[in-house]
Amino acid sequence: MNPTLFFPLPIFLCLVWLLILPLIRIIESKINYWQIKGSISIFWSILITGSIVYELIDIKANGAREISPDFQNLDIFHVLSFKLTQQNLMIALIVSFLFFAIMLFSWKYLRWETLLDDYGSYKLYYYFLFFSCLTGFFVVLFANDAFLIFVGWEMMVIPGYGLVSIRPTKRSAEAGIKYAIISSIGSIFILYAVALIYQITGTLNLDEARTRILAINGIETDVSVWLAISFIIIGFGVTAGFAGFQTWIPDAYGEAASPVGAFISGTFTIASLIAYYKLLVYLFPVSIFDYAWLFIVGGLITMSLGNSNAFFQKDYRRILGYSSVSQRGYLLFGIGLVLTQVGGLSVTESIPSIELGFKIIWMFAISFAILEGLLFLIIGKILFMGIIDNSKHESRVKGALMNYPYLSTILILTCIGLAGLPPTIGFASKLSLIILAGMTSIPIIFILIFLINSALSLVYYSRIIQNLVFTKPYKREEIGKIPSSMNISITLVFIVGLIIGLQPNLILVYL
Amino acid sequence: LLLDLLFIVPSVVLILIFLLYTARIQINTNIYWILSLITGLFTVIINITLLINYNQNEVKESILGVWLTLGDYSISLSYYLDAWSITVGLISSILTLVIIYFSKYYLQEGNRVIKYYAMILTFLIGMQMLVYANNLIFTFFGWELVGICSWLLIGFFHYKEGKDGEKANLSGRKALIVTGVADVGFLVAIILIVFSQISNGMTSILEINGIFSSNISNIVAIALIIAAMGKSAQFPLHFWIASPDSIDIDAMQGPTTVSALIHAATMVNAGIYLIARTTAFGVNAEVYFWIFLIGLITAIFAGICALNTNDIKRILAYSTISQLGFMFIALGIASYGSFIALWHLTNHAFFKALLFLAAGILIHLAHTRKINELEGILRSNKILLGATLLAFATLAGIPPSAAFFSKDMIIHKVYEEYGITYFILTLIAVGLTAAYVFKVVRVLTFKSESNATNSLEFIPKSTMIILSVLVILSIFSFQFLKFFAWDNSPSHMLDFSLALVLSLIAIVLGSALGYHTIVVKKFIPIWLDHLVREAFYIDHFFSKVGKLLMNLSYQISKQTQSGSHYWNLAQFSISAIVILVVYLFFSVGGFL
Repeated sequence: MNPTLFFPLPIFLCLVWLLILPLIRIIESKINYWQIKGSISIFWSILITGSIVYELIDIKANGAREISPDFQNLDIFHVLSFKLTQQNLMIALIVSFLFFAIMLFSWKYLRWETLLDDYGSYKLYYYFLFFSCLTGFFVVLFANDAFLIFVGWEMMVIPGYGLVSIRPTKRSAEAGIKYAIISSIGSIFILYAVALIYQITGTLNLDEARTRILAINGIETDVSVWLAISFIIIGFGVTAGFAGFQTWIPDAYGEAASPVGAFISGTFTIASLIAYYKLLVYLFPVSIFDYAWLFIVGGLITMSLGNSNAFFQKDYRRILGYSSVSQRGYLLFGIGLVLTQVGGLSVTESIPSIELGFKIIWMFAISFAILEGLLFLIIGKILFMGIIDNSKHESRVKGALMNYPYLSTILILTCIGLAGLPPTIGFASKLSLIILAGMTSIPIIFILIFLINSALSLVYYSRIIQNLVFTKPYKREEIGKIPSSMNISITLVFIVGLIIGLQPNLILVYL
Repeated sequence: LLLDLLFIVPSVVLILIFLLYTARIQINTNIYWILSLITGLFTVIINITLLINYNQNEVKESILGVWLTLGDYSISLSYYLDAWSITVGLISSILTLVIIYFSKYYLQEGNRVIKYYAMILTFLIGMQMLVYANNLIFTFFGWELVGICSWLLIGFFHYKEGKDGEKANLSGRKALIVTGVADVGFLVAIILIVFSQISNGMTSILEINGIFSSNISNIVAIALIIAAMGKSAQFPLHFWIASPDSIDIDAMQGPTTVSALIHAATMVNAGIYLIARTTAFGVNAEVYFWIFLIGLITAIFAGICALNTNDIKRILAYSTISQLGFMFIALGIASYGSFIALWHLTNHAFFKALLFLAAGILIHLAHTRKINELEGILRSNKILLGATLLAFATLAGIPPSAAFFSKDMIIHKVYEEYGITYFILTLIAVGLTAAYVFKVVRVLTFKSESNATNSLEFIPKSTMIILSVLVILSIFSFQFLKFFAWDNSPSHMLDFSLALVLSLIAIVLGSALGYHTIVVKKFIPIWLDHLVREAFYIDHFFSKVGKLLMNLSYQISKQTQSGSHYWNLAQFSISAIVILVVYLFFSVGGFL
């Protein structure tokens, strides 16, 4: 029996590795060699990336494919409905590539970050949780069923709590608990929303549910629909960093290990946007249910909160946390722009505009994932280089890159990319968002708030550069030779970010 | 192909420098200098070839490919060739070459100069892109690239001990943030142009020809003017180039070669170039007037500030701001304004680079920027004296220098279009230029006692060659007029008029005022003297605003991110309730 009849190939590969991992742990303990899990994880992430490329080539040649096993009289399997398109496979490809880079980075990094000599068990959790997150992400990405999206979501965020608190410190544990509490409440809202969708349409399959929603007379006055929409916005808003729900982000990013921050900042955000797209934008056409302004206002507040908080932080990973909040604000604002753009059009007329608008959103989200991930990895490497007291406080890591021209160049280009300046992917994506703003007719004051926020972010991005590159180094103990796997990982992500920045059409045609 | 090479060759050299440097291969820093020099020379040759092959009145567009496709809309990577782009491209490449050559003798900073050359080459790429781009997105790309280089180069001396290093860092960031905030104007313009083009059914968006061949709306023009005010240091966004001596955080903290290239002769002209392109095809009369007024205020303001500053680099910086103000005045003239502005830009670029390099030599040898410590210093070297005097004379607009003619055209046109009041105010700006020029000239040359340390005997001959080249270029910048003036030549060219006589009188009066500053100063009240010394507290004002905003942000930060579980949950509840209530009651309307 072909297993890919049940799951897309990348999900299948993830599940296989999750089953094998504990066995590897046993082998490792027998031979007292602890690098096997890490090495095979790197190989496996390459395998997953390769499987996505394979699927992408296949889909490009044969068109979108649905995976929906038909087991007679077994309703439960109807939930297992996936859809593979060029768009979601391109997103999967970027995320799995980032995942591979993070696995490569983690190879030698973990021993130091966990501060433990006996870190074998930690490594099992670490890789297990990482692969669980990736599996959950793929499920959300490929799912064509509301309940499956919820399941995938939980598969992604629950290991996320563990990853945030993987470092054996009290603050790390506290950050993980904060995230878990807020996110669990969000999950309740999501579950209610899924139940309401079932109540309204009688199905959980997204295509079917959309058809039924459009066919119901007077749907726009149905209170359950409005409740479902509000619950979806609130539920996924926790991870999307919607204003008011963003409080966990700086704590979690500040305390998580750098590779964890590099992964969850971008990937979780993309997942929440996918969920918004599938459960909200696709299912409840904005032409009927006007919720665009919620994203406009929410996005503007989120980006302002992120930027205003980032100005004062002394801890680099917290700055990145707030930077991540502001970038999420741009994304939410972008969704608002897409939705505003179709105001006044019928549901059918609005489809091309929505698709075009979301191309830009995906582009921006990918850019954010790459650049923010890169910055986390660089900060991780800096912390690895100076082992004096594991402090992330800026006075302790001052001038850390002054004598490292290669890494400092990458850091400068990454920071200015996040601020939307050339030549990396950050410029192309910010400009795309600005062009999107030009396609809409929202009041200029909103656009001004967005642009001023974007300009002011230069204050803290330039401060990161100033402190790390252009300041006399703090006297500290150097660890000696830095593992080349870290450099390779950073270089690979940087090259991808640069190439897409110089030629964004390379990925845009697939999105 | 030539234009492709203009970007490909410097990029390849840049990558090569990056690889050599980061691989930590120990090679002589002169190799990097030679590589940069060859690249600079190459771009000059390409630009000259473009100039030679250019047919007057011809506008060439060449599309390389599509950079970004968004549904039916596309943004192309293409070039736009006309007399203006070739001229500005050529000027920037010549000056970059000159500065690279000069830098070898001026900057002796070990391996750090490698970064310097890399940034200068990046700047060259950005400047050429800004000038030759046929799409506003790529103009913006180049615009930002030169801005980034400006930031990094201003902060070049970050490694210096003590406050000098800190000042360099802060100055770089200040330039980045001030121009970055002004760039919001550029982005607003892009948004509005996209909206208008899409509404008109255009699919190839933001192409220069499509934008500027028809009248652009007032609001787009205003947005572009704000961006240009930031980049070209117009009042009140001038303070990143020159701040009061008491603050001392400005672009002049960078190496003098950088000040000469970027903050005097090339990058600061980007705003002028952008507005020249925009307004050349016509904007509303009110917009012209606003541009004129900004320029006039800037020219007068910077002229006054330059009179009461004791730092030679800062005087030159204020002088740059003032001359950029003159260019803005020219841009504010509807008939041939852009033409005159670009001609003044050409003249200014060469003599200002010359002045900065001369000042660099003085600072290098005397180890001070304070003008009262440089008394009579020029008397010991005749070549330097001659070159500097010629450049100062050009700056003051003394006939028959090229700047005299361009300034005269500006004054004449102001009289024609804006009447006697604004004409007199423009004359005051001209007089102020002459005043600060003569004040400096008097100190540097005519003071009887020269400091013993101020000996200029050991200046390398090669730097003198550079100064001589710039002298020749300053004299012959007049020739660019021919290139500009094919069929757009203004009717007025130095006809003997009342305006001409009055401008000469203004220069003479200004010179006298500058020469006798010490006497004149006795009649100025202390409070006014202090006000001028602090540059009318503009920088102080923006510092206060910045601090207030930071304080506000701090309060927001404290309130929203206390770290407490309860507060996190409370925020969650408040936001959820707001979404539910507001969405249900306002969006759903009355059906509940």
